[in-house]
Amino acid sequence: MWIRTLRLENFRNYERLELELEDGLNFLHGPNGSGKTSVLEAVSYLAVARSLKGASDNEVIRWGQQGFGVGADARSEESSISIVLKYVRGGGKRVTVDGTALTRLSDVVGLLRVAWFCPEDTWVTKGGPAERRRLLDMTLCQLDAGYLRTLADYRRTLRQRNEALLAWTPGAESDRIVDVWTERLVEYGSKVIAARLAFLPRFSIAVARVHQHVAGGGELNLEYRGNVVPAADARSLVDDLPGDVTLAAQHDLVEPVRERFRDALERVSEDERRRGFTLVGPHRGDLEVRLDGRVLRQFGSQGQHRTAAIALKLGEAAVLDEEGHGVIVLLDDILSELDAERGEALVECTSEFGQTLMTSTRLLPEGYAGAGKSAVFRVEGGEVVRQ
Amino acid sequence: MAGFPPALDRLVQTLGRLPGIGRKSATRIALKLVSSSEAECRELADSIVDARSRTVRCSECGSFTEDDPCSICTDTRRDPSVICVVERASDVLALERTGRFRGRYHVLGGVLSPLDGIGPENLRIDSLLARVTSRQVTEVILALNPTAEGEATALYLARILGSRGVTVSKLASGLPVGGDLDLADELTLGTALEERRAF
Ligand SMILES: Nc1ncnc2c1ncn2[C@@H]1O[C@H](COP(=O)(O)OP(=O)(O)O)[C@@H](O)[C@H]1O
Ligand SMILES: [Mg+2]
Ligand SMILES: [Zn+2]
Repeated sequence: MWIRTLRLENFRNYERLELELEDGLNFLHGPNGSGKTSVLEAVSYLAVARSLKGASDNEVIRWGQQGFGVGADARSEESSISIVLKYVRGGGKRVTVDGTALTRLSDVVGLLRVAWFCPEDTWVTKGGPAERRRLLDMTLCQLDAGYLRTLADYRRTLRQRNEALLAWTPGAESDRIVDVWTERLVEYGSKVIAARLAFLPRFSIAVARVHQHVAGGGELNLEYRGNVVPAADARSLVDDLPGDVTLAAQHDLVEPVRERFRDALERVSEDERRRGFTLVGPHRGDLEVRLDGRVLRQFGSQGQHRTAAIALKLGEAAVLDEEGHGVIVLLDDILSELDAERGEALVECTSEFGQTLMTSTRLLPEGYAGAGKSAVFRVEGGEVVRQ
Repeated sequence: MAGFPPALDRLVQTLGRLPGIGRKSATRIALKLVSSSEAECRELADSIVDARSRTVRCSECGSFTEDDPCSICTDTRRDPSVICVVERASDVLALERTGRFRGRYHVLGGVLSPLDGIGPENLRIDSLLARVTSRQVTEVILALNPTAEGEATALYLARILGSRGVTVSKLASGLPVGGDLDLADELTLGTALEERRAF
């Protein structure tokens, strides 16, 4: 799915905007504070019902207004779709697809698939595990609506179980309460872990391929790390799966993971009751990134981290694009972070995806591969003009 | 812009506190009411107060009734050996609409939720156990919503009932995940009931 027309109403600094976008590269340039990022943010609302910048719904309402709306007419080779998301302060977000209201907001996720990359993301391989976990979850949620629901149930159960652990006192009744939450945690958590394990080989291949292209050398490899299934064990579980490892293979993984999750919780059971929170589970998982066999987080240079981050994000775009679904790549102010050569490689890489929205304070340098074919927009003072 | 006159504004505020009614609907309803006859308004006000004063909880099953125990609990044609456990009284209505259940009900009044401070002592679990032990109950069907809390509560009940020698079963899946029982259509709910599984 690619966006033909994008509409914003009382969103950030836009009172009203209607923008015709093209396939391929859409290049938005303009001074700082002119509203470039806000356009990408609006697309993220349509794709995943929230701001990929992490802003709250109230924050993005145009100052002095009571609510905002974003909408898109999108099209793929076979079909077209019209999505509208509206939010009124103090109310909930509502989405209509082709005029029909969705009963659950989360049902919108996956209709438009997006991969987003902004300057802060250049450190995704260097910082703590939370950001890498988020990248993994965002990708899986867009690929598989079941994953999104299971992850939401897992998080909810985790909070309930932590509360139950905090309230725990020695005795059969207290144990019984903790136990039922443990069972549910294992149920949802095993599915989350299994999906991540089944997905990783495919993700790793896509990321390695992009990395090869952008960095021109060095083998990047991804592996899922968690405190439920030890790495070597996980490797043999995945290897044992028949045929290609696809998301569907997760079903064969759930049972062995469930066993291991139960055992892991059993081992920390006393510790958890003493400390009052859950110690093992997919909420502690991480994505280990290795360059030529060595852990990037520990030894990577600035340049290597940057290139790895690009590879992760474009690798994400590549898997979202599989099976012809189409992906919209959002690249916010990223050229400023890269030297000319990497910048050009990045622009070239995006040409394999259906649609890219890229922002910059400057114009694309002359002679960039792909620059000639792109649609260029000038952003200034809440207006966007096609050039 | 000038606001509504105070009395009308108060009505909008009051209506807006009702479930499922946002500001817009509240305003629409309020405007409709103030432009209808006094008799019509009186009728609405009376029916609210009347319903409130006549309706009680059935001391047996916990659902809404005017006579205690309710008509389901006193209906001798209904099978007293099967109890269907639900979260809310509105779920009883949803299951009754399917017309496929001939046993009796038990309304829990909620689900376990440590985050909200709701434990077994806050639910109608003791009275369920009392019914199960003192009557000739042989099967308990757990018809809780398929949410994280509903599933945990079902598991809790299955464990404490399991040791009391009754068969415990659960509605078959097919219900919308994370959805509300009382929003499921009759056919889906009826099928889920008939294809229930032993815990
Ligand atoms: N809720 C809001 N209402 C109105 N203006 C806003 C709001 N939030 C941010 N802005 C303003 O919108 C402008 C656009 O921001 P942004 O899209 O981040 O610009 P850019 O990416 O071009 O630097 C900024 O000048 C900012 O001050
Ligand atoms: Mg910006
Ligand atoms: Zn009754």
